[in-house]
Formats: sequence, C-alpha cells, structure tokens
Amino acid sequence: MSQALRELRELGQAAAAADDAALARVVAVLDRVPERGEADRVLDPVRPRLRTLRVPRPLGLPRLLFLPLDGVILPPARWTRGAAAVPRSALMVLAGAVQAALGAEGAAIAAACPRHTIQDDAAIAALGGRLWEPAARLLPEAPPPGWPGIGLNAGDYAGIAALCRPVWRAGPAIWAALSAAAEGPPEALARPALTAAAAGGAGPLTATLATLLLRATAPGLLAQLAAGLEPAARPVALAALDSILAAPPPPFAALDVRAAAEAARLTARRLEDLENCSLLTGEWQRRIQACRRVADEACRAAFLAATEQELVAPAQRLAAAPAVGDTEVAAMEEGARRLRVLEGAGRRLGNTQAYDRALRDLTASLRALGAQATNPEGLRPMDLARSLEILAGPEAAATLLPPGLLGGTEPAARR
Amino acid sequence: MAFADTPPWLSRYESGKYQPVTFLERGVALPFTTPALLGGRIRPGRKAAELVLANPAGAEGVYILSWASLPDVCTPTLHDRALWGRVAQLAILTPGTVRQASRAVAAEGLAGRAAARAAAEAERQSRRARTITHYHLLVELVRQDDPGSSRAASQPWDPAVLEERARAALSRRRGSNSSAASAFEALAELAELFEACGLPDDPSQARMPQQAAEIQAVVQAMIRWSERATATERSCTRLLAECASLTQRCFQHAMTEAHALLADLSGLVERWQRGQDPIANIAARPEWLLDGWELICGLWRGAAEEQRATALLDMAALVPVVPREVGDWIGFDAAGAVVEHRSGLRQWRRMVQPNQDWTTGRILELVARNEAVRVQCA
Repeated sequence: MSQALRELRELGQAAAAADDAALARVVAVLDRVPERGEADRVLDPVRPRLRTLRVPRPLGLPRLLFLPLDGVILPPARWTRGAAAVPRSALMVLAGAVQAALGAEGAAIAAACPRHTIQDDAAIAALGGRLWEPAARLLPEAPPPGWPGIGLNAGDYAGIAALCRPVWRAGPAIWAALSAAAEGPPEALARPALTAAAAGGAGPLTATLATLLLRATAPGLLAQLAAGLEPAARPVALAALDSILAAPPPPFAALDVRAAAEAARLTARRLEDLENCSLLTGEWQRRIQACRRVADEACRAAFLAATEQELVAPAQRLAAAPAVGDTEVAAMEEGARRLRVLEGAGRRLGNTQAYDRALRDLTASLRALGAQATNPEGLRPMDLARSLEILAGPEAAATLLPPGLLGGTEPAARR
Repeated sequence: MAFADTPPWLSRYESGKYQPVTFLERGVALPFTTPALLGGRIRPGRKAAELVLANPAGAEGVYILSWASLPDVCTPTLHDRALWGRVAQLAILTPGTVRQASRAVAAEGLAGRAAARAAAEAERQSRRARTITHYHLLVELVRQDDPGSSRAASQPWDPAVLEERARAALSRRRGSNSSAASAFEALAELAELFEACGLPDDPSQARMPQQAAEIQAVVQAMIRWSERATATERSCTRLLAECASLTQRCFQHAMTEAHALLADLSGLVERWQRGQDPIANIAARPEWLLDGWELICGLWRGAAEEQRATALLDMAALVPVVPREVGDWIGFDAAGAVVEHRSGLRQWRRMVQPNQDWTTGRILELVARNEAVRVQCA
C-alpha cells in the first residue's frame, strides 16, 4: 500500500470515528476542494452515515446529474462489470462529457448549482429538469477523454452509458418521487418514475428502484409496485428487497442522539411496511424479523451508551460538585429529552421490555445519586427527579421525591 | 347542533353553548404544564371540585370532569400532580388563592429551577406590593381625614408618624381606641385585598394594571404579525383581539368600581368590619376578569417566530368565556358578545394526531414550552 493510500485510509477511519458535527466539518472542507480525486475515498466509510445525517452538501453539476442514480453508485473496488451500477470514479468524467456536450447551457447549469444544496428539492427539480433529459441525448457514444485514466476499459463505457441514459430520461419523474419519499413515496409519483425507468430495461429499473429505496418509507409497497409493472420486473423488485434486508442497520451508535432517533423511527417504519409486503412471505418474513432484531439490538446499545454519556455521567459529575448552576441542570434535562426521543423510537423496533429494564436500572442509579447529593448549592434530588421524569415518566420520578410532596386531593374545594 | 325538542332549561348545556353564570362556575385557571391539561380550570362542584378542560380539538365547548379523575385523563407531570393535590385543599377558590398555591408548587422546583426562581421572586414582589399598597392606603386615610393639610402629597412619610396619624384618624371616627386598633388591622387586610388591582394612579405598580397593559401589548403584536398570516390565523387573531378588547372594557369598569370603594376609606373600613364579602367581591372582579389571559399572553411571548401560528391556535382555544354575571354589573351583554366572537372558532379545527407525541418527542417540547410559560406567569 502506498503512503498516500495509507494516509487516505487513516483519514477515512478518523472521519468514521468523528462525531456528527466534526464529520460535517470534514465533509464541508472536502466539498470545497474542486477536484477531490482520491481524497474522495476518505468519505467512503461514512457514506451511509452521511445519508442518515442528511448533511447539506453543496450542489454541483456532477452531483445533480447522478442524483437519479444515487442508489447504484459504488466505490470502484465494489463495482463489477455488467452490474447495474456506476463506479464512483466514473462520475467526474461522465459529468464533464455531459457538460461539454451541453455547451453554454451546461456552463449555465454548473454556475447555478453552487447556490444550492442537495436538500433544496425545488432547485434540484428545476435544474435537473434542464439537465437530465438533454444528458441522456447528448452523452457521447464513445468513451470521453479521461476515461482511460480512471481504471476502466473502453468496453465498460457502453454498459455504464446504457444504464445512465434511460435513468436520466426518467430523471424528472424519479426526482418527483424521491422528493416525496418520506410519504412512501405515493403511488401517483412512484409509478411514473418506475414505468419510465422500466422502459429502458432491467438495469435502469434496478437503478431507479435502488435510488428510491434509499429514502422510501414504504419500501415494500414500492417494490410491490415495481413487481407489478411487468413479469420481468418481479425478480428486479425481489433483488432490491434482498439488498435492503442484507444491509446492516443504521449506524445508531455513531450518530448523535437525535439523528439516531430519527434513524430508528425510519427503520421501524420501513420494517413495518416490509412486514406487510405481499411479495415477502415465508423465509422472507423470517429475514425481516432477523433484521428487526439486529436493528433493535443496535439501537438499544446506542441508547444505553447515550444514557451513560448524556445523563448518568453528567449527573455523577454534578452530584459531586459543590455548586451547580441552572444552566448545567438545564443541559442535563435537555440530554434527557434527547434520550426520551431515542427511547420512544427504539421501542418501535421491538423489545420494549429491555427499555423498561434499562429505565428501572437508571431510576435506581439516580435514586442512589440523589441520596448522595447533599451540597446545599449543588445538585438537588429534585433536579434528578425532573431529568428522570423527562426520560422515564412521572411515576418513576416520584420515587426520587420525599413522601407527601405530591399531596392528596381532599377535601373538595369551595368558594 | 341543537335538537328541535331540546327543553329551554337544557339549551345552555348544548354543545357550543357553554355559558357559565358566575366566575366561579367558569372556574379558576391553573398553570398546568401537561399539554393535555393546558388551560384547565378548577371549579367547585356539588360534592367535590371539578376540572374544566378546553376542547382539545380547538372547537368550542369544554369538558367538565370530576377533580379526582384528572390522572385518568392523561399522565400529569410531577408539577401538575402536586398542583392537583394542593389546589384541592384550598378552602376558598379565587384567582388569588390558586395563584398562591401554584407558586408554592413551582417554588419546590417541580417545573424546573427557572420556574422555582420566578415563583420565589413573584412572591417577593407580591409582599412588596402589599406593603406599598398598605402605605398608600394609610397616606390616603390621613389625607381624607385632613384634606386641608399643607403637607405635599409627594412627600414621603415617616412610617411611625404615618401610623400614629392613621390610628388617630380612625380613632376620631370611632371614638374608642380599641375599635380603632381593630380598624387599623382591617386596613392591613384591605391592603392585601387591593394588592392585585392596586390603587388609583397605580402608585404600587400592581399586577392587574400591568397584566391589562400586557394583554394590550400582545394583541398589538399579534395584529402586526397577522398582516402576513393565513386566513385561519387572522380569524384567530380577530377572535383574540375582540375578546381582549371586550375584557379590557369590563376590566376598566371593574377597576373604576373597585377604586371608588377607596373614596371613603374610613367608611370602607367600617363596612369591611361589618361584612367582608360585598367589598371582597367588588375588589376581586378585575382579577377574575383577567383570569386565564396571563397564560394566553405567555404562550405568545414564549413562541418563537416559526411557532407563532401553532401558538395562536392554542391561544384562541383558551379565550375565556365571560360569565353572565358580568352583564349584571356592567350593563350590557358581555357574555353574549364573547359567544358571538367565539362562533368564529367554528371556522377552523385543529388536527389531533393520535399516538404521535410519544414517538416524536413533541409532547416533551410542549411540556418544556409550558414550563417556560410557567416562568413568565409566576
């Protein structure tokens, strides 16, 4: 391994270990580099996490061009000849060829892109509408200059171009469906996208389905829709579902608590949808349950680690401090709020009793800590009770309070 | 919807026709922090207290439940559980007694440290306002006893001298020192009674005139904001503004009547000693009238720009109905006017999403918001 490659790998590992805010800063630095080349590989280990975090990455013509193919862009090492996929190393060369073929319009689109990010759905729809269909028409028949330098041979170009062209033709419809992915996407948007891609054959349908499935909250319904388009589409849909079930759960432990909660909520919703998918029976259902278990365990592990970090450790530190300010207590309560959101989302993945047990243990720990909190200016049992109330509810929190504080309800009031 | 054969005596209980006769029937607003209890009120029932809750869908009408059933309606926060227990112990239900009870609950820290500090500070302010009111009542008593005094009104009194002159004034009117002593004590009770609404020209900067000014300021801010709002938001703003305006009109009338009692302080003391209720009822009217508006203003003040539309729906749903007793002493149908304004509520509805809050954390945000409002409304 060369020195440069070793350094890239180390940087990639560092990025994987960075917290969400630090990772966003690393990505922002890399996004400012005009020609990233090999440096792009720094991000390879964290791409799934970036997708979960929805880091607002700047739009450029290459990124815009390949948004409809997002689900099938692979690191060069994982790309295989004949696969319905595009190696990441080919993106800049293909985008350069498209921009050159578009001439002044290509330059205008490229100039308009940096004002937006990949989260500006309306801008992407407008700019993509000017780019995708012309790109399908104007992509050169022969490999563009620069192709030999990316490690692919001339024969590979035809296959990749044949995949890109139909997907770009369907680009506006795909983007309309992708923009509504949080709502399924609805059949009224998904069907035109899938139909347009299927007209190009199994490869474009595979690519389109993979792209839509990246964000779809109803992957089962989407696959069902694809399978119903034509008999040849059914294996494509099943292969796409197979990929979903083979994928690891979201990297809950690597995400901050709010992002982990969002990922858990989305995962639970997707699993519920898959459980109701008529394409998936028998062994498929067992695989879904296995996925649910793996996701549940990963989420619970992240919750336990986050509880330690966001609540237990701060509570221990404050309990030992001679004086505690309101801001510190408010920060602890905010941590408890974040944890509650994660716990609520995590429960939807399955093992609710495990969360109950974790909260019982936490209640016992905080009760013991409350007994130690004796500094008059320091942490008070009431502070701990409030954090516990936020996370575990008032019943658990009441056990940290002196008897009688919550009072009774008699006698009846009168004027 | 009313059925054609609804007996007249039953018609005021029709859905959308909640028209309490007295303030007490309307109930006293409670600063609950549990979202499901927001704007809840307590009122005495035949056997035990009752809980009055606004319709959670934002539509007109209220739910009236037994006080004991509160934990069955929702899972109350620790703060609300303590408040629930404490106000049920109150022998007399007025905005003042409920305020004291709710401050005591907040002071325990159950709604957070900020609310505890705010409650303690508000209690200090109340004690200070009582002292200032007492002082000004004594000054006024002396002035009324000796209208020709050359002493400048703005000149501060030495407390000992003031007390001596006040006792002398009361003694002259009664002719015995012992009854003068009890009259002096009565004046202290009246100071407590007038602490909330203050005295004419507001030398003590009392809470009620300040709250009336705050309502006015919030309404102005809402009207400015609604210039670029949706039709629903504008109809909510109109409802709030019209009801606030009506409430202010009643409030000014009630303040004038309360302050008129002070025109003859010595006579007022005598009447107070004969029977407290008639005077207490008149002095309490301003506070009853504004009861519930503090929460409405707090929701507006606590909402960031992007939360204002949501806050407005909550605020509109909480607009207090004016009881019919107000018409007896104000001379026009104030209750009917509010009902007419509130009929605008039927033009919109809030979507109530089942089981959403638990997973999204939204309920936590709402509790945090209500606790922040609790800080403002200590």
